[in-house]
Amino acid sequence: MITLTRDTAIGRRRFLKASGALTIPFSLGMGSLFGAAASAQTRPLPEYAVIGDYIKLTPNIDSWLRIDSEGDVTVLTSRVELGHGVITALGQMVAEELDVAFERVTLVSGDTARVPDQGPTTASDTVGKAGQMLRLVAAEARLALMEMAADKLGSPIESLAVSDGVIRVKGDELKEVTYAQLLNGKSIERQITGKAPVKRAQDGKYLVVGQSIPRVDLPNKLTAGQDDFLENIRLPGMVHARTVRAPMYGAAVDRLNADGVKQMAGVIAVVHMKYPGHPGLDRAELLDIPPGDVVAVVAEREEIAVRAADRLAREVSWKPGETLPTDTERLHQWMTDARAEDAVKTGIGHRFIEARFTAAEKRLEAVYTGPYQSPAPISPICAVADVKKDEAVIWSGAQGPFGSRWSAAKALGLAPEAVRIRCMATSGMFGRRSAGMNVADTEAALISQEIGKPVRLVWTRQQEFQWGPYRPPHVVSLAGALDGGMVVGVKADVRFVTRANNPISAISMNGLEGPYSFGARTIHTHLIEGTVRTTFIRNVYRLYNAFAMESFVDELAMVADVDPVDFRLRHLSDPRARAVIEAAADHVDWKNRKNRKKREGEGWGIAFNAYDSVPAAGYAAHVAQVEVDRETGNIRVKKIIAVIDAGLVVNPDGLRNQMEGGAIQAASWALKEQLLFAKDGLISRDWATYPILRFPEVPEVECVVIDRKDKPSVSVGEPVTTSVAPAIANAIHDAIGARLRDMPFTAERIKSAAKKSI
Amino acid sequence: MSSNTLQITVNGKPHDVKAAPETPLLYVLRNDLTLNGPKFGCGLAQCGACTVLLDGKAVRSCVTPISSVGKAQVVTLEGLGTVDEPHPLQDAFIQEQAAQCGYCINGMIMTAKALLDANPRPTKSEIREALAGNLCRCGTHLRIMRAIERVAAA
Repeated sequence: MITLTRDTAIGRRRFLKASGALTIPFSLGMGSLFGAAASAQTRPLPEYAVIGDYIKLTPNIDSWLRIDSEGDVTVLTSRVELGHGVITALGQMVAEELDVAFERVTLVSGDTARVPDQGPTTASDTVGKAGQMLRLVAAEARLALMEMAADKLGSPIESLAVSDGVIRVKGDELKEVTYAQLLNGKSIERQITGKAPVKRAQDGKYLVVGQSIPRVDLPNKLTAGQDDFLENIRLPGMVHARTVRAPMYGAAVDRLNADGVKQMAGVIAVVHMKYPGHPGLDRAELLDIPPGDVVAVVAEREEIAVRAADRLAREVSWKPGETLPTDTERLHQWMTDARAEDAVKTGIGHRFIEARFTAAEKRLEAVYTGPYQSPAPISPICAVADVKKDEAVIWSGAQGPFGSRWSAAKALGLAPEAVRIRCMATSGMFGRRSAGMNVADTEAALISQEIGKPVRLVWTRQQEFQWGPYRPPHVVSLAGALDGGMVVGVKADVRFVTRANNPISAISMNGLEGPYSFGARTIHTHLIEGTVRTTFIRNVYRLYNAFAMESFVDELAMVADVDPVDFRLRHLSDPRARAVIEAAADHVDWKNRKNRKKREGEGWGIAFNAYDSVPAAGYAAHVAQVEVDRETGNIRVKKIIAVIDAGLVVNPDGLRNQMEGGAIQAASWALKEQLLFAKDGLISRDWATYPILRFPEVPEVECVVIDRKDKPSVSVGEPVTTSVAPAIANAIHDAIGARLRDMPFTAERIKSAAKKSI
Repeated sequence: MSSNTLQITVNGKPHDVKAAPETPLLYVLRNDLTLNGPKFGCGLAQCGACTVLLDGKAVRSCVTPISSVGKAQVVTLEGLGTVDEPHPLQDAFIQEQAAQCGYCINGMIMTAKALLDANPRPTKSEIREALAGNLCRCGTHLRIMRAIERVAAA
């Protein structure tokens, strides 16, 4: 049975020191020490690093994959399980490539003292990038073992076959040797060349990949077993912290009267951290939280920390903070008028696109908008930190453990290799902890350093909404030119709000490219600086850009008087793109949907997406079936059909789990989610003021998977969400002739659009 | 704030707990009794992650003061079953792979237990309504419902 390696007794494990005193039941070759040391010296690998970067940093096979004296395999990765099943999937990929039974494989995940840096778990690339890399490593290991076996058995490699770690001479079954026998407790002392041949399926058959192997982590989580979640980490002598935060971004403490709180029974300390101003916080390069002082209350018991923080919040006074430049209602107008910097200018046909537009038979313009949206994790951010004089351990929910380590080390004034980040399962984060610096890790570490005890810190639900980062808002202006029913030019102009110098703005054109042949296509994006912090929330810029483009495609189809499916197919030669759209249309008998219409206000819409970030190239399409009441504006998404082509499917049920979940979450974004704020502060602060889709509202989801065994496996984390919002918008139009160009599709907006459409 | 010693019965066992009477049951279960099942999601009774059973009724432990528990039987997720001997509901959730991050599932299973004890054969619509106050952010709703239906049909 595959297990996620965990410390089963917190506190008994010793911190990995250079002498290698690890209590793990397999031999620790020199490669791993080299790997750990190498990772310590350099900055954490960014999310756009490629497989070659991972290999260059940590070239030894032994740093990634080890086989013990029982023939059991341990794989080490900085990738983490976020609830999307990737740890199980990676285990399957390695087991397949190494020709061992799945049950032999254990993954060690997200512990900076033990694993090499393979980048953060973001950008929908764990299967497509990390998984493919681990296949290369496994293939290299298998080749090394085959060469050793050929030597030992006195038989050439071509004559050997391997099954579950046993190498045999074909036709002479007595001549066999196991991986464990060949290695005899030693490590595979080779570097990764990337040249070892990777398995191709015989007749499309794989043994482990392609099986719906149950998630290895679920039984423990569903029975509240030991170490199921980060939130359940308990250390001897651990104390509880809660923070009191500024009432507004940029506010500093004016007067802190903590005497009363300090005298409460069970209160241990009150720690005031100016931000900016606290040296640790200033060093930490925290990019996804705006300035604002933090006052932490530490107590022996959690409920005392809660009550003390509540009291302290009443007894501290604040200087004024920033005023936001606008409010929710006027956000997009403000964005249209605000000063902006050019971010990206890309596309084809810049020199002749204006001529195309001038000469075109028909032109269309439309503006689409999307609001700030919260990742809204079910668990507010949490961290446990144990900081001693020369070393620190932090139990974390980071998506990027090495990024979190870098930031925490800077904050603490320690070398990175003196800080150990141990990633644990937590609630789904959807990018909330992706920016690498993990505020809670750093705050917990600084508090622990200050008071000299292990500290458990968790934010309140209100703080999670008000101080956590958001998806950036967009205004997307599209113009299209049609000739003879074909698109001959598209101009896209995107305005979005984020912090200054955010390097991720380099991908702000995502969702506007893709395989449609639209002739000339220019994309310009512009960054507006704003206070509310944004980060790489699931889809990053792609969500609103793709909502705009896929809605616009339907609008262009209408101008051309062509069916939306036919219109898309006219502009697509990519067979995989065509295939997902055709599969979606076939599944719902698209051509006859009007004949099936049972009542007024029923409608169907389709949308497509081809993922655009390397190396993943998943294709997806969604069809939404809705019922809309034009009088009340109420909408019910009855059903979503989700279609995906993710190459060779690693775990079919895991994939369907993602497709169902992605469709429902994306429906929640489309129908409900927006940050409400006034100039003097955020209004969204809890589940009442930031509603998400609930059980009575969720659609049925049907999944259609195109399993391309001849294509590399790619990840699906984002692709399973991207085309849902435009499918719903297109369905609303099909239902009541009203075009929704602003997310979310609230009842007021639907009513208003319905009136306009009469 | 003074601490009393209270006795509460959790998963069939009596426990002496020293905590102020207004202390939410959630913190006592998690920190004094080191139980992992009920989880902190909001502290506002809005999300259901903290759900436990009190004499068979699903309650939000984050807003239930320890002083109000009295002699009621408290049952948490771990009181239902273990990895080796899972409760039928837990087993159904595992069979259906009814989880993504898994953080909300405590609330789902405990609420489902209360539902099925009161109404062993709920309709799909009744299941949706019973879970209306439980939030799942990952979108696992359909599998959660299928898992509950699986137990209801058995």
